[in-house]
Amino acid sequence: MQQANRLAHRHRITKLKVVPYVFIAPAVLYFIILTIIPAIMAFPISLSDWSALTPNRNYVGFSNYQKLLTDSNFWKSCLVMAQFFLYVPLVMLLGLGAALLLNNSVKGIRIFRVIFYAPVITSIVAASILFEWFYQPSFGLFNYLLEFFHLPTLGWVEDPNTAVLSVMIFKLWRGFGGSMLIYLAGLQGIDGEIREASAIDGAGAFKKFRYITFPLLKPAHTYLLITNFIGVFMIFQETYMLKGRLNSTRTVVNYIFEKAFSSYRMGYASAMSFVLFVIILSVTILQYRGMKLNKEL
Amino acid sequence: MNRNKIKRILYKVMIYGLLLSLTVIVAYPFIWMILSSFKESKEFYYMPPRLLPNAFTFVNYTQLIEMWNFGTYYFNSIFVTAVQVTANLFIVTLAGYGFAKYNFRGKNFFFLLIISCTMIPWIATIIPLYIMFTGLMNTYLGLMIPGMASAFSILLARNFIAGIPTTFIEAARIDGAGEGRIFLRIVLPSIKPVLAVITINKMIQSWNAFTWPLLVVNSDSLRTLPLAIAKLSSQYYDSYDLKMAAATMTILPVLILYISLQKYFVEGVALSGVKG
Repeated sequence: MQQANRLAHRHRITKLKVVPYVFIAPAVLYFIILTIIPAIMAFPISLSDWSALTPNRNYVGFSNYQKLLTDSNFWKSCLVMAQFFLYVPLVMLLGLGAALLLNNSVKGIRIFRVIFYAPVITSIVAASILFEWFYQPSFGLFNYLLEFFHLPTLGWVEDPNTAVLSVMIFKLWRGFGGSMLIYLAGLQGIDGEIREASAIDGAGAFKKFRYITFPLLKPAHTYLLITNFIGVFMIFQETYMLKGRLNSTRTVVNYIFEKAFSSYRMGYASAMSFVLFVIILSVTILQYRGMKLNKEL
Repeated sequence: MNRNKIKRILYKVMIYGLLLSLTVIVAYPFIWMILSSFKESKEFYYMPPRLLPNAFTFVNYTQLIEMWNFGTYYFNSIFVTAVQVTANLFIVTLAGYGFAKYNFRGKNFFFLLIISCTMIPWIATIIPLYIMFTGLMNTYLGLMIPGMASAFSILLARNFIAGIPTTFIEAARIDGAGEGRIFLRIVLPSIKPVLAVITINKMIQSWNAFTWPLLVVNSDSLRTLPLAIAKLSSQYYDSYDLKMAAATMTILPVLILYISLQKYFVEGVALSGVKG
């Protein structure tokens, strides 16, 4: 009897040693096969002339990267992406403004919060189709409004000069609710401290914001700056749907897609995506190091 | 005293004024979308534009379903979302529990491996993934597999499961409960709010997924709603009536879900964002 118990106990212990591996196995296998291996494979592919059209693949060294340096289309797409960086301060400013409005103790604040965040959860593709009509030069809403206020009308997406601006307005509409929620969480975390500090020296509203609230929101600023910054590198769907003429909205990711999946030049496209990856990864590592995002990690 | 009161009222009026104008800007496209889905094609060319349809017609919806196969796209979207949400819950909670409540060799290594996946952007993996999935082009498996687990949700699950007192688990173990039973009966029920957040996040992600489906699907029978909208947009540039009905079909269910469960949406952002 005692022996049987001991056996059962030992069995229990070996089982306890195996069980955790069983629990984590699906996740670990999933991420090794579908994220880690592809991420590693990308580099060797970028050193080849891999094309989906021909079966033979040759090692070509760094020539894909060299080609990048002289590819004017690549640099043009970098320039498009650079224009989109203006989105980062704008979405933060709008988010902060909305959060400050919502941080007032007036009635119905929760309803406003629900409304402002709603665009964030919509499909980019479906939402951009609404803006297609708004931007329509001859019968769209925006030009009608401009005319109504006796302002000159614009070509919006159809004019290469305003195409990026049009996409950015759409992105702001869809995205400011996200920064708003982050700022709101930040504001609610510091309210108590503020009340104390301002009660002591009777500071005016603007001074209070400038010297107390704004600096105390630093974790929110950093988080939003970095996530939106990375987001700009990855703009794809918006510019896939609201496509400007003469490649005026073709971002680097759009260009990678064209090269990889329309001309099937996988090697060359991989070189571009690897460059993006290195940039994004360095920014992400900065983020993890610069802020104590998840202290437990 | 009186002046102070006036000042306070003016302040409130200003706040409400700003809030209401922002509400109009945010909500107008949605309202316009829903109302316009009942319009006839010619009504999109009126100057000045009108918000209300002449007569509510369902013709756009019937046309989408009868001539455009939107019934199939709808089914595909629901099916893919359901499978991905289920698979994600399964993979994520199991791993979260394993990392939170067991000690085993290689734990830190495997955990780091999964954290590192949250830092790899999709653009870095998409070309090799496309090559890997050559054999699964135009299949449900090819469409669904790369969206079946979120590494970030594993962190979320782990952090919450770590908060369950270990004594509960030990006690159940002494009572003779098996490890699987402990997981189902003790762990899962105590992290319900996080399960809701994980489910909702994945649901929205799957429902709105566009980039990978665009690559892996080109047969009509596998198209999901976002793919169908993109096709509608590129091939039928002028059919705003159909586009509005399609957009409504895609966005409205998400909005309804969001309004009824908004607490979990907001919580999801708070959990994944910064604290303080």
